[in-house]
Amino acid sequence: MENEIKIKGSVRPHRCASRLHIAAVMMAVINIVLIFLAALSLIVAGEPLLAAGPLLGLLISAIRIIRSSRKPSKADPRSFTASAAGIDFTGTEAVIGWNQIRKWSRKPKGILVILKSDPYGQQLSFPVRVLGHDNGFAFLLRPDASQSDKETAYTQLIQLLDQNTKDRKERDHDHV
Amino acid sequence: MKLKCQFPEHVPGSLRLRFLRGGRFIWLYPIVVAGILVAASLVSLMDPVQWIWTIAIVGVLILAALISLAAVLYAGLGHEVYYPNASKTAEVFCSLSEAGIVFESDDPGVIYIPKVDWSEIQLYQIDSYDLYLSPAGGGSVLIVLDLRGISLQEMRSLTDLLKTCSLVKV
Repeated sequence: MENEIKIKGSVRPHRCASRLHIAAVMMAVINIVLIFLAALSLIVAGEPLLAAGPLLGLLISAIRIIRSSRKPSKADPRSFTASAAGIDFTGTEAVIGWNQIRKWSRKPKGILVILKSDPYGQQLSFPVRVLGHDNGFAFLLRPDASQSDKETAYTQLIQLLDQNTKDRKERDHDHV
Repeated sequence: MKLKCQFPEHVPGSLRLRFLRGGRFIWLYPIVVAGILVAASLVSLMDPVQWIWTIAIVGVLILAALISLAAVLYAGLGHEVYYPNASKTAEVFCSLSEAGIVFESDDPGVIYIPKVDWSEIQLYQIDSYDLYLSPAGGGSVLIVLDLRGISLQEMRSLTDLLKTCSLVKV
């Protein structure tokens, strides 16, 4: 009888920073620089009292940036169980088979897997569904383990992924 | 109304930038601020130290304008375009009605998003004989429909439909 390895852990959606998001952050930073310069030029011109207006604006934009940078995905890590049959995302009916994995790679924070379909089947927006179909849905798997046997759990999961996806033609899972 | 979907290899850069709407002019804002600052310093009496500060601030403003111009080009052109239900082998058609867009094809296997509600699509543009539909956000996802060969009557009902579904022309 084969010895069945079962690995439990937490899973959360992995969002690669989109170019639009980077551009939006650049804009927000420039906005802050502009307001700061407006305040500075008023102080240089000898009107420090008037500079209070732009400084207030600076505070408001800083608060808006901090509020928008909160990651919603951090709030709800869910759990998974990986076995020879595939990855079972707790709370969903179907088990994601190994053939559903497009790519995987080891990341410092966990193991990144790119799936062909979204296991949670949430009400995703139209652009997310299109981008997900073309690029895959990325999830970060983190096996449950204490500090001492963390490496063992990771090695087991990597072994499981390697065994079940090694028959693929493209061996590109190291370059996600 | 049934129209053929297209998946063009290249979408013109000017058209892609238009999907950023007002955002594509954001780099003018630092230039305007710098202009006001220069005008204000020319009409007022300033000592050399104030002049140095003013020149430094104008320099940073021009730098900010250049960075925001780069950000606009990056947001508008830096990403590739994605087409829903794109297929190289089968022809894909779209049925447009007040309920939404329904994708159809002879090969049902290529359709992974069968229906899109109008609430998901906010922007449109007609460029030569193509109708471009996109959700807000830089036009990275586009539905391109072929308008060649449709009658004037159909064209009118199409623009009426886009208006009733409150799409914005970019």
